Amino acid sequence: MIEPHKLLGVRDLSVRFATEAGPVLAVDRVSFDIARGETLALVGESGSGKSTAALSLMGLLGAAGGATLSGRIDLRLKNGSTHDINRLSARELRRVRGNEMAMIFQDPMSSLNPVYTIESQICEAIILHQKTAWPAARRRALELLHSLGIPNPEKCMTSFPHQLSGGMRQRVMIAVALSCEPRLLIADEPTTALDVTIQAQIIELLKRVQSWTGMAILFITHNLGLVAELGGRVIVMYAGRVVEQGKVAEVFSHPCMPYTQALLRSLPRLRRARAPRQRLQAIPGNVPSAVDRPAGCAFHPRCGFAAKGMCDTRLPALEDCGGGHLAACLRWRDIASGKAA
Amino acid sequence: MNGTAPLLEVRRLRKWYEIKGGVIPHLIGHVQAVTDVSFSIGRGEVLGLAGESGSGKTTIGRCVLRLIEPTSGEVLFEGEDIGTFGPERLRKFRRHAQVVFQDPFGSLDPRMTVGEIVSEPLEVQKLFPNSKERRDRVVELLETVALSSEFLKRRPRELSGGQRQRVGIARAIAVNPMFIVADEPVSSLDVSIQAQIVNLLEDLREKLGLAILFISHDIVVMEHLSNRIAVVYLGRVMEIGPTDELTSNPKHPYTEALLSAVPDPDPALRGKRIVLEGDIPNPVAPPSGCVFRTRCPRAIAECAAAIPPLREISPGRAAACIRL
Ligand SMILES: Nc1ncnc2c1ncn2[C@@H]1O[C@H](COP(=O)(O)OP(=O)(O)OP(=O)(O)O)[C@@H](O)[C@H]1O
Ligand SMILES: Nc1ncnc2c1ncn2[C@@H]1O[C@H](COP(=O)(O)OP(=O)(O)OP(=O)(O)O)[C@@H](O)[C@H]1O
Ligand code: SF4
Ligand SMILES: [Mg+2]
Ligand SMILES: [Mg+2]
Repeated sequence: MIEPHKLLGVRDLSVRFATEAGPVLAVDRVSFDIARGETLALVGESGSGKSTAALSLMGLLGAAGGATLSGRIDLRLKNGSTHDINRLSARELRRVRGNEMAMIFQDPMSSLNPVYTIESQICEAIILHQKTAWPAARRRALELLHSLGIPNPEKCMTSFPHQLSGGMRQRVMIAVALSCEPRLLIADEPTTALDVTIQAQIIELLKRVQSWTGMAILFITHNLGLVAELGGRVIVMYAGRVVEQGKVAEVFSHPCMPYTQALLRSLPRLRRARAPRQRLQAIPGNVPSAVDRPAGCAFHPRCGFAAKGMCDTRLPALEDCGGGHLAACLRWRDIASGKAA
Repeated sequence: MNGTAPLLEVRRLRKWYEIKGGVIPHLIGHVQAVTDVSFSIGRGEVLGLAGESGSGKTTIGRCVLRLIEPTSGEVLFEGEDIGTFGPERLRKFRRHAQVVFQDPFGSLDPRMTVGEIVSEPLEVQKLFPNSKERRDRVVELLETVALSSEFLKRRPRELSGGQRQRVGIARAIAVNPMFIVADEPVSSLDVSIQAQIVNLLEDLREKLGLAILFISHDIVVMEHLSNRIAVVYLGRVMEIGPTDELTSNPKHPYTEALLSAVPDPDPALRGKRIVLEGDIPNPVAPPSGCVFRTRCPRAIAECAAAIPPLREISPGRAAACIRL
């Protein structure tokens, strides 16, 4: 189903949750590909469906959690065959997770087991996937923790999760995910609790692993500076849909879709007392309801370019606005040429 | 209660976690998470607490609200030592001092709905006894954090990461507290909602005189909100002072390094990045003398001799470095 150099192909993925206030359409007909060894960043407003999309790729959302999925998620396995994640059995899914792909969850506490030490959690993951003995697994675990900038790896190994700081827990999660040497790493806000120096160290480590093993990375973050540093491609989500997609440098220097433009304008800068204190810039208007999405372009109630009778009725599709840079905006041509007010 | 005392005063706070080991578990050492930290926060003041991962920020925040017991030192709230509070006095204290936890996942009760979570402090403190008024207040609170009444009946697991973080903020400000400890309150929010929350906290400070201990590793956001900043390293205060002075003219070598690492999207404004050599030391056996000396570009032999005291270098500004 997917081209030979592609690792993953997502087609028209939709995810709906049943809630007491009505069905929530968390992901709405999303399509994208990931090539082998590629880095793809996923950014977007809080609640726009990034984690939901990532969890569906891992096959972790199902009827049991109140979720209804549609669309295809084709993954190419190590043996060359491709499978639709949505159609794998629970047993097949377990084998795919860990061997083919691993995920760093946004929530480090609930994915670490509180009653086991860090040592047993990392070593067990290594032994499970690499069939090595405990001493070798232990050495590998120490090495990983060290390369993630943990000050005292030996002590960290004997600790329980609650004894670690927020940032240390996040790095343990990264170690567990990397220990399986996956071909696709899905990292959901893996560095939110970390300061810039350690963030930079982790990005460097991920890039190093990527160049050794050809691992592809789907990196979910709200940190646009980090996206710029990662390079590769970026997908911008708004209200469950992909609204812009392209090379990071291209999208950041020439954003075509008004939401992306507004997001980049909201970026706070270090003042260093040069400028007077200003209020931070937020995008005006309200985050759209996921139960009752606005008709037409979901961004139209907050968009300065919205045209009556057009943006509030027609759903914009992704269009190529030059060299594979896609944007979902009915007025992108007018906006780019300065004709839109 | 006296009018001139700061709202909160922390004196020589120390929290050393015990480490047990061995076949028959016995004490083998201490994680020196926080050592001799002192600062104060005035009414309506925001103090930023900056520092690397593991430097003791969360531990300080928890001690200040007595969510954990310090090893030694005192925390005074309106001049009273909170260490002496009994259960009833503690409940009253919690009416005025709230917390936004760093981990939005672990800190919300999974069995409760968002509506129940946000209205709980209102009920405990017996505010808004009329249930209709209480519900209106809860909806109003949700709206101030960019959520809506649509979320009232949802449970934490039905929320995104950033939505959980915002429910935590709504709960903390529900009772109009005088003081909150906000531990990485905007770390998982996109820049636009982050701006909205920071502006909200700024309004609460201006209109209601809310004081905040604002913990973050993001100095850019901290700079916008804080009146003063304290920089911690390995559980000790390295430098403290007014935000503008500290960020425009850092004195302590660690503050300097921390600020130089901030990625500025504009290359013209970007200064030279000071890369710290070496690893963060082990908090179980920190270096002698100045704890920063093993990574300090300006360290000399004397730095190992004695712990540098936090000395005033200009009015309201202090740093712990013998080379200043
Ligand atoms: N189990 C669930 N049941 C009901 N609604 C859910 C569930 N999980 C997520 N949602 C809703 O689906 C939408 C998308 O959530 P998701 O977690 O994917 O967002 P996100 O883009 O990862 O946001 P964040 O940046 O805040 O983590 C949100 O409106 C959220 O409230
Ligand atoms: N319950 C505990 N038992 C033992 N050690 C602990 C405990 N809680 C924290 N620590 C240790 O104390 C030190 C400081 O942790 P703290 O959580 O205060 O750091 P932090 O500055 O908040 O870091 P982060 O930015 O990563 O959240 C760390 O070395 C941590 O491992
Ligand atoms: S389609 Fe219309 S409302 Fe949507 S982003 Fe483009 S101009 Fe704005
Ligand atoms: Mg998420
Ligand atoms: Mg912390």
